[in-house]
Amino acid sequence: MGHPKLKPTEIEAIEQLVKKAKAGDEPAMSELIRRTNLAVFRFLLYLGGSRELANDLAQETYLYALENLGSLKKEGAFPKWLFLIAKNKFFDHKRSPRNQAHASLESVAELPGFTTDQRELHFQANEVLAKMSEEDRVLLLLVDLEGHSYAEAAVVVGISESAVVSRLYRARQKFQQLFSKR
Amino acid sequence: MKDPNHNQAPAEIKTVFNGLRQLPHEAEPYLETRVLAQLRERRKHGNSLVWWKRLAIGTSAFSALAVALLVVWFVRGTTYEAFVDQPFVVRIELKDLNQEKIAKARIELPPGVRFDIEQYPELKDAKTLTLHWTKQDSTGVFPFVLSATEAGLKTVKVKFFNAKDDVVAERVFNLRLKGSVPKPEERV
Repeated sequence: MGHPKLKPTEIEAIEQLVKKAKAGDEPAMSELIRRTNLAVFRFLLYLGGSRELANDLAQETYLYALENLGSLKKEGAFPKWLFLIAKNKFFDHKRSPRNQAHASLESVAELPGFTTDQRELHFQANEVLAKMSEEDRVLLLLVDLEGHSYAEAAVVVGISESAVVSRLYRARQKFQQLFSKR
Repeated sequence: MKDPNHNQAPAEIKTVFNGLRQLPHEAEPYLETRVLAQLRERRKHGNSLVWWKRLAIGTSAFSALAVALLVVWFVRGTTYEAFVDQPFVVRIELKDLNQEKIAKARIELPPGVRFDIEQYPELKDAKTLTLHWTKQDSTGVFPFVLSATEAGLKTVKVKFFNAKDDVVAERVFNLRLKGSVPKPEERV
């Protein structure tokens, strides 16, 4: 799931894997994680600004998802469901009093394989996203980073599609404004 | 999943997020191995954690998030920086190791570096720590928390043994320990 505009064949494959995983098939569970983990990790990375936190929350996301697969009625909704769980895990983490003073400890040393320009883009985007509200960040990341539709983002965030449209419009304006100010 | 409203994102936003999407980020290697191991573990023992999780997470360092993270990729001669009195996590990538052969791992610390594990305070004075290895522990990453009491260049060794007590692999990395934690603006 590098980008979530999944082809029908990919959705079918995920449905099959989820059915097998529901029956306890571990190779199917592994395959589900492999197919989706980059997008989930990236979403959490830019949401929380920390690689360590993103890794921890990604693990919690998959643990929760795989332990509660039985409650997922539409197998094809698994990718969207993952983002919903990931978002909830992030907000649960933020609500915990001991996590209020979050600081990003990511350093250049943690970006092996990045060019100087790529590092710059990564740090600049992180800096701008950190100045935005978490709700705005979630919407931008779901729609503009991970390519979810407004309708899908509405489900993940728990607001109406029209609210997504208006909130996202403001979030994009703010992002653009902050990004051009650097 | 196609959404006609998608095109409403301004060009600059599209450029930035397309750029971010193409960055060579990698999710944690062996995430699935770790998740599945934890699922099995939970089924067996409720919510108890595997030993390395206890070692890594059961620390004041993790609790306070006041922890630096060093990812050790095992390039010989590589030196990693950390600071005196600030706990840091070392995460050793194991993907190049034949983990089937490993029966135990031993961490050897130089003077001035110590284990920093809240649940096992007695380890602060230990210079070596031997951990028995089970297949279930083989998650691809071996994390442990250290802290330093003195500045300078230090070498930490991790030796992996087979069941006959022969060393089957050894990992060595250098730490350049500095005296004080820099201000956030100095960390870039």
